[in-house]
This record gives sequence, C-alpha cells and structure tokens, in this order.
Amino acid sequence: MNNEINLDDYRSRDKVNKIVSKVFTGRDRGVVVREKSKIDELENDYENVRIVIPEDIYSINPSFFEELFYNVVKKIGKDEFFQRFEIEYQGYDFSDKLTEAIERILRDRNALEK
Amino acid sequence: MHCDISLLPQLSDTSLVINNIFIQKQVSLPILDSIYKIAMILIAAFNIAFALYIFKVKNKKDNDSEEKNRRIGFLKTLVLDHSMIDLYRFFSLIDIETLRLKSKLSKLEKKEVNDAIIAFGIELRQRFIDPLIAIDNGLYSNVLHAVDELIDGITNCIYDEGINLTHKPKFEEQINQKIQKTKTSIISTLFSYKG
Repeated sequence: MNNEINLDDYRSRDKVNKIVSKVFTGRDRGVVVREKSKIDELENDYENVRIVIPEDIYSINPSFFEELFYNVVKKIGKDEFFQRFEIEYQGYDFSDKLTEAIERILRDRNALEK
Repeated sequence: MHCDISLLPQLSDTSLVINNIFIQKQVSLPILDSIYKIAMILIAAFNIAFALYIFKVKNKKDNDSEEKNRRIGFLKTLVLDHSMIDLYRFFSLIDIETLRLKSKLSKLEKKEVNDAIIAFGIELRQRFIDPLIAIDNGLYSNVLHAVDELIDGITNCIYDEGINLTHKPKFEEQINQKIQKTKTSIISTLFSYKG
C-alpha cells in the first residue's frame, strides 16, 4: 500500500462495449471508491496522501467527493485536509465541486454534534 | 312440657358447636377486617401509581406533539413562506439550461451545461437546503439527496455516449421527466412533513 490513489483504477468499466466511464457521480460510487482505495487507512498511516485525477475525466460531482472524503474530513477538518491531501489533476477544474463537498461534510458534522 | 333427658347430651354438643363457631367468628372478624383494610390500602396505592403513570405518559405525548408542531411551524416560517422561490428558481434554471442538450453539443458546451447545473445545485443547497438542518436532519438529507440524484442523473446522461438527447422522446424520458419527478418529490416531502 502506498500513499497514492489514482482514480483511474476505480472507474466504471463496461467490458462488453469497452467503455470506460469519464465521470464520477453518486454517493454509492463514492462509498465504493472510499472502501476499495482504503483512503481512511491511508490518512491514518501517512502524513501526506496523493489523489490523482485522470486527464480525460469530464466530471466529478460533489455527491461523489462527499462520500469519498467523508470520514477523512470529519476526522481532520478542512484545513488539515488541504495540507495533507494533494490532488493532482490536468485540466479538469474540480475545485468548486470539492469545496462544496467539504462544506457539506462539515455541515453534517456540525448538525450531528448538536 | 316434657323434656327428653336423652336429648340433653346432643343439645349440649350442639350448643358447644354453636359456641365454638361464635368464638371462632369473634377471633376471625379482626383478621378479616385487617385483610379488608390492607386490600383497600393496596387498591388505593395502585390507583395512585396508575394515575401517575397516565399523567407521565400523557405529559410526554403532549411534549412530543408540541415539539412536532414547533418543527412544522419552523418549516412554514423559515422555509415555505420565504424560500420556496429559491426552489422554484432552481428548477426553472435547470429547465432552461438542459434545453441546450436538445442540440448536438461540443465537449466544451457539454461541460458548460454540466458545470452550470452543478452550480445551480450548490446555490440551492446554500439558500434553501441548509436551513432545513435547523428543523430536521432527516428532511435536510432527503431534499439534498433528491437534488443530488437529479444532478448526477443529468451528468451521467450528458456524458453517456449511448444516450442521444437530440432525440426528443429520449430527452423527455432522461431529462424532463426526471426534473419533474424530483420537483414533485421534494414539494411532496415538504408539504407532508409532520414533524
């Protein structure tokens, strides 16, 4: 296990039609990738974690990011998340979607703490 | 009056029996009285306990009912009276933006449409969905998830090469109907909220 997660490894692939998904959407998908990538364990074991977004990705929606990073952001908060998690991308501007996801997670956390 | 002396022993036995019964009655009466009094005390104690139990249960029911009414009041004041316009605006914007999908679009144009609908969703979350946390976490989650499902569904359609949105029936099925279904579902969730 190293400290890098390449989202290319977790794309939906239609083997029959040889189609590889170019989007990451949905909470269910986020949960699957969170579990398969063992991101929560990586956060625990490494000071820094690298997330690689493939070049030909068209969309990563907030719902996916929200589930993928849910436990990590709940645990370490926004600032530490951005310090320790490096997200490598080429071209696709995901920043507003990621920010949205983090705001939701923190809002969930605050709501649950009431 | 002739008295048959032979009967005397029998008479005497009878009187002894009667005497014994009388004495026993005299002895058992206080016991019966005690039992009666104890029973009365127990019944009274049970009545008090039962009355207290009914009072507690009713009190709790009243408090729960009050809490539910309070939440419904908050929903009406905070959301329905002031923020429904944001919800309707979101659906209008989605309707208008997705009309572009009826034409053949370039990669860049598809990205513009996708980014726009995601941005509308973010704005809706900030203006309309977040305040629902103050009322009910379940309500907040239900509405947020419904909006996410709609937006994710549209994203998937935009980038699914197997779906031809320029074909009117396909656009109607994959886009329009999903938008209308989500709108109805959210409005129904809000107006059927019972606290």
